[in-house]
Amino acid sequence: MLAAAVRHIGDVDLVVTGDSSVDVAAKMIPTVLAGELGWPAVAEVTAVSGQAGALRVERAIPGGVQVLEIGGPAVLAASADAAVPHVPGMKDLLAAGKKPVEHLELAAMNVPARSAVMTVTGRSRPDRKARKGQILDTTDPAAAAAELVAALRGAGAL
Amino acid sequence: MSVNVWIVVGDQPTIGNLITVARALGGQVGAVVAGPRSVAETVAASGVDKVVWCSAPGEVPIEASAAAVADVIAADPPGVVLSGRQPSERVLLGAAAARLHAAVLTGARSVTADGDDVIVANAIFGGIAEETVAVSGPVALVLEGGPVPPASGTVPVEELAAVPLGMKVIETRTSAVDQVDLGAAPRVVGIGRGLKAQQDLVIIEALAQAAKAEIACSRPVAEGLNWLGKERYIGSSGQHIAPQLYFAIGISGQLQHMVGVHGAETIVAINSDPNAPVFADADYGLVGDLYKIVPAITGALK
Repeated sequence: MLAAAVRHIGDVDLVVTGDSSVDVAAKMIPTVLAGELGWPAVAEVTAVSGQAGALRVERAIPGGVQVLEIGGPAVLAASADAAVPHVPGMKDLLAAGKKPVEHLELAAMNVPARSAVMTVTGRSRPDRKARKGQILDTTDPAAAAAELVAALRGAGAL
Repeated sequence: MSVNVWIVVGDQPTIGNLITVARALGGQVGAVVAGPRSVAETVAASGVDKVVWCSAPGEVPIEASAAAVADVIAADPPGVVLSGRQPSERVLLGAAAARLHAAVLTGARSVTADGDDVIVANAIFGGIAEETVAVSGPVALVLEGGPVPPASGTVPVEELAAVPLGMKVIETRTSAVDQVDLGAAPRVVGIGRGLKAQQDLVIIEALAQAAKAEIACSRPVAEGLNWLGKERYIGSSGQHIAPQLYFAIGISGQLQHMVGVHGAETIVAINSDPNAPVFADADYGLVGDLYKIVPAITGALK
């Protein structure tokens, strides 16, 4: 559906998304969208510069940053800490109300039928390992430490 | 009914868990690799039935092979496609999922076949609950990759010289940081916001050394404060580990963190707040000042 919307808008050089939704936190919408469009996708993006057709993208990798150049339209998912969010003030809120919003009719967009159907058949609390919940007396930290180490060694954890 | 599986691999052959899950579905297990040839060779010796290696010329990132990976999978459509949680692997999986119009789930705890359907026990909302989802049609799953699988027989690596998407690597800047494999560490010491200053990490390091443990942290310590690298944070959107022993120090024990260590054999919690939720999730709890208790434990271990 998002891909159909992007194609409808046409002339799109870049789609920027956040890291993930707060509830599902799947981090997959941007990558699947890119797959639908046949565009390059990059996640954990920390900076973008350059121009259409020559985007310079910085993305986080373990221990540092990698800089990529992308020669066409792309989907970029920002990392969760890429930017400090700007809290909109009253002026921004009022200006937002005046910006044009185009409504797209789902039926008019060319959205392919689903191939897979998911049905939730049950919901439960996950099985949790039972914990001892043993609270040690910490009046004397050294004694508590000795007791803990003895208990851990006894339990085979150390 | 057996289900055929494709495993999507980037530049890390850490797919032991993916192979285990795939094998349990009873069908063919293929792997498509978009990384260096050495990774394809490791995967070829790990007990899969087939390996396709998308080789790309020049300095291109893993993601440039996404379309090629999708082509390989679409040519032999499976019931299930799996990947680990690395960002580049998610990009490859997304391309495959789009091509197959597959359902996507990212919290799978177990995956089984039931007639024509695939049944997934899927953790939701940060792990607070688990849904049983029956999927008819193809499904793409993001799972913990697991360790590098042990070698067990080998299959040929089929090379596919794919046309990459228009991306190239210009520069890579890494600080000299040791790559840590938290998933392989038998003992882990986790630190949270109870630590007052970055330089106080020395007392945690001393404990970790005495306990022969790796150091990890809660999300704010890595992402907010940047005191430790992001690969060290444990939580619903970070690392999930199951060590023999986990110390939760100065960590309140919120679900978003604890869901990453629920598999630990033994959990020790140290916190100054007697009402901290972490104590409900611990085998041993020590209420008090970590600045006194942690050095005491370090001393007791020597």
